[in-house]
Amino acid sequence: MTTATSKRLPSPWGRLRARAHDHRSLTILAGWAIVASVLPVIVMIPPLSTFQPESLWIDGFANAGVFILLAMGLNVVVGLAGLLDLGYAAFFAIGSYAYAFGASPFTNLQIPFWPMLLVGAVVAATLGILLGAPTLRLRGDYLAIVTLGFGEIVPAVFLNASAFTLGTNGIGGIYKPEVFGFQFTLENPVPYYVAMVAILAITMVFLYRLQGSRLGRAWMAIREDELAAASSGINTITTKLLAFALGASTAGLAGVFATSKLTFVGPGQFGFQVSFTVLAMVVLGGMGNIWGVATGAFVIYTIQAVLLKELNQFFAVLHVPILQSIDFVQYQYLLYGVALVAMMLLRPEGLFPSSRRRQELHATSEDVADVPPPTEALGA
Amino acid sequence: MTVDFRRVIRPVAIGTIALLTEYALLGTQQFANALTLGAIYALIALGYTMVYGIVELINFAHGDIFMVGSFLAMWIMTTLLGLSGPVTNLLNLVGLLSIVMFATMVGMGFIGMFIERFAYRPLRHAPRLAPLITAIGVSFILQNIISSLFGPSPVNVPQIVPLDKFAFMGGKIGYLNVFMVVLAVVLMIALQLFVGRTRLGRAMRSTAQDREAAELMGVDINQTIAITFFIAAALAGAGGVIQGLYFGSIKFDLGFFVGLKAFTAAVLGGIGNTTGAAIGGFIIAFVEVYATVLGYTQWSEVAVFTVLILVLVFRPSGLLGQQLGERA
Amino acid sequence: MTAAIVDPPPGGDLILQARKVTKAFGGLIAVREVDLEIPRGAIISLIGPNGAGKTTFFNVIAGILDPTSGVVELGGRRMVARPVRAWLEPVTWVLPAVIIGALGVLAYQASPTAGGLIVLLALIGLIAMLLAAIVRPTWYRVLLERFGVFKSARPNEMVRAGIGRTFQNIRLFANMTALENVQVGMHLKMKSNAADALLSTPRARAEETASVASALRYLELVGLKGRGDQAARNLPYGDQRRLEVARALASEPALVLLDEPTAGMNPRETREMTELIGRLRRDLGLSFLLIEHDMKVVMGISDRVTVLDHGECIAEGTPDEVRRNPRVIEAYLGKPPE
Repeated sequence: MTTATSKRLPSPWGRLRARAHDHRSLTILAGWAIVASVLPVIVMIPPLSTFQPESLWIDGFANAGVFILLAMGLNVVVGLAGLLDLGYAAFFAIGSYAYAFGASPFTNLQIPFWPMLLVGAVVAATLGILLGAPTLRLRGDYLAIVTLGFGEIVPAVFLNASAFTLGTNGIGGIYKPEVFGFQFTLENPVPYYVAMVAILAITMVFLYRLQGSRLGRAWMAIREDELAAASSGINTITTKLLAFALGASTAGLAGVFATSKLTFVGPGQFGFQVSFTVLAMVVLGGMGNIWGVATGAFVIYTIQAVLLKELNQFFAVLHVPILQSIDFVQYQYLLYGVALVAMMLLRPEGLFPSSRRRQELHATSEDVADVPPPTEALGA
Repeated sequence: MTVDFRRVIRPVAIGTIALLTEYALLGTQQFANALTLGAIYALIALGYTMVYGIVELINFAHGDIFMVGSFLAMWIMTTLLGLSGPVTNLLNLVGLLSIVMFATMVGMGFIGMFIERFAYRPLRHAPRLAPLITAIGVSFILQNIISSLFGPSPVNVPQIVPLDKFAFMGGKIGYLNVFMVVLAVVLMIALQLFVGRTRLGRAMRSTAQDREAAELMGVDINQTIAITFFIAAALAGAGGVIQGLYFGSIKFDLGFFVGLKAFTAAVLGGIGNTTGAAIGGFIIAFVEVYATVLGYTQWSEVAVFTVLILVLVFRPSGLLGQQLGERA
Repeated sequence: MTAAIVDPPPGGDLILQARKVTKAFGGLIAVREVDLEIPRGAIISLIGPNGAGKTTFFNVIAGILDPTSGVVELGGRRMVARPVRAWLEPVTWVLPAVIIGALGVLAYQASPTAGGLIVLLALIGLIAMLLAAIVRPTWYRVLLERFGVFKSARPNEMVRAGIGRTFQNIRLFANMTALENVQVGMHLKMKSNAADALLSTPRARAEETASVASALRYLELVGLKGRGDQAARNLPYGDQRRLEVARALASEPALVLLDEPTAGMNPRETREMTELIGRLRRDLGLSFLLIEHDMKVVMGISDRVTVLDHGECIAEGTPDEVRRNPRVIEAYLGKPPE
């Protein structure tokens, strides 16, 4: 929250930025509307249009949205509050199964989609609090391991409690959303796309508001220096819990949506691969930077879902000797691993860092600014 | 050689009680299983605890180093030595095992040093999150290299140690079990002697306690840390050898779960405390085997993770660690 | 001999009273049975050679360390002491839930719905207790006191009780601006919560604007006018120390703990800091506890001085008394400044 008095000369671009900053929520909503309208058009242009038909593209975008949501949620935990959560997929699973319990022939319930979004978020948040309460006191490394363990336990529970969850086979036939009588179908991805864009836009508005608030500052303070934060009056445990709960609720939200689209849920969908992918999206996209993370997630997902297959086909069709026998899809995690290590070594602030983050991570020893000492002594 | 009784009595007491309880609850057969499994966990846990003690980093990739060790040992046995089945000549067996052990441990040691040098050392002064994330990246790289080289399905390891058993106290114990456990114990004792009595060991301990002071005293920090990683990886490699010989089959994702359990063992024993890591390894193995005995195989992992959470919540310093008085 | 720069303290109640505070780390006794009293509006200095236990003592008062024995009271209320019956606390979470749950199971035989509801109630009760254990509202603390359970106040609770502090090695939020640093200091003075933030309520926005204005005033108060937008890490050393003071003041404490506030400062900056402390005491009625090595500051501004050596209090009194105390001279192996 910087002061309004800026000594910058008002260039047109600067003025625009200032106005956008003042009306941030509107800017975000407008931005999403523009992006959402433009994307379906872009993919009608070759060569993108040759990769897959438009409806598949839009379907992919809707799926990407799930991961964007997950990345934004994990960003709150990892990027804003600085807590390394390696089991994020667990909350995704909880949201998914919550919707499966609430709207499938298995339980004979058919709670409508939109309330279920809230329910999924709340249930996930509750479990986030239950997990976080005893463990957020721990040092970062320990917390990481505990969350990793939790990320394994939750799917294992869903797998083994087959009486309640149908075990490995999972729950199928889950009902699709319905808005004012308009029924979503599997054939038409557009309603899902629109719904996801709406969810993303609103979530982003909320996240930016949080970041610029007293709570957001408290998170940043904890990330900078937890002891100093506590000594400034911040209840570090509740603040960290809030970050955890909010992150979990976002994952729960994503889970409800994903399940409503996939109409199927099974424990195999929530392994460490998922947690790791989302973490990679956050780290590579630029920890702490909300739109950076969203962009990073979109880029990575698109690469994963579309480009890698294309690369396979590309090399196969061209019969390039070694490259054609490499299955890029299978190697993607190797690439992620390499990318993560390279990022941490070369550009730890991510691809789209906040300027603050870049400052933080490239600190040099001669950081004392060349500022003349204050000439106004106080009162004296 | 003076022995400080007060410091020794606690680990010895805990260890003895643990072992006796295990034996009582499991019976001879499963006790042997638990001991062998415990040996594996202990060796890996030692690596976790040593690395954490000296650079305060949980090396996520450590479990995968164990896994790579198991593959390296397998490769040495099959490709280099051309083995495929039990070796009956005792002299030959001992010789071959020594070669495999030595080669694997040294090979993994260098790999561990290599990883530290290029992935962790540049980040020594970065914010805490960075090396943690890098470690995860390294873990994935290792897993994927192995799965590309050897495939994603389980790979068989030649069982060169004959699987004969002998009768003991109502059950049957294999020579393999005895050998494995003895080997692990020997390695652990060797480690304790090294850390406690050699110059390099002293350097390691002083660096772990206060890095700046050690540096001022003339300790070469980089070399000390590199050696620590070497030893940790070598021990994990030894664990990998045992894993392959005992279970007969290895898989590229072995490191993940075994690593997690070994880490739990390290925490249970008190992170930074090598004796604790050893004891923790045996206790965790017991928990896992006991869960299987009770019929809850699938829940055995959940049980181990629950132990981890309970320890971290109620006694984060572990069994043998020091109580810290700080609260932020 | 330098005369005191500021007025002697007004008479009045004790802000802080530490009695026989002892802190041992294993076998090492860092602080041994130290008493300290801080009257309202007083400036007390804590001096002693390096390693005397001054910062450890500070950390006990600030709620960061649990003392091995002894008590710290703020305004008569016990805030910090060795934990008493800490094990009982988890019992208070679990026991009611277990009892109610058992009742529910029994009731289940008679009426499944009633029984189920009671068990659900027990579960909710358990979760409520767990949350209370985290948030620690007043009723929770009172409940614990009924059972004789005592846990020391945590650092943020000490801030709530009116203590602000600075650190020996500056602990600012390096990548946040000076303004934001002070705003964090004002954390407890602001009331908007997450819900307000999410909905961007008028109250939240008004409070934010007001907080900026307040923070700017604090910055001006310590002599950092116009520096609000600078990242804390980019400020010169002296300004960083001042910023820490501003952040501590922002929580509107009654007692401020300053750990070596003039360390590394040149004589002019030292004088400015000293004058600032005096002015704050005079204008805002704040009390101060200083750890200081600069004897001119200590002698010039303190009402009373306590001397620690090897964890023990070896002298206490007015600056003059302490200066002439042979034990103190011996501990320092030097002469006090002219």
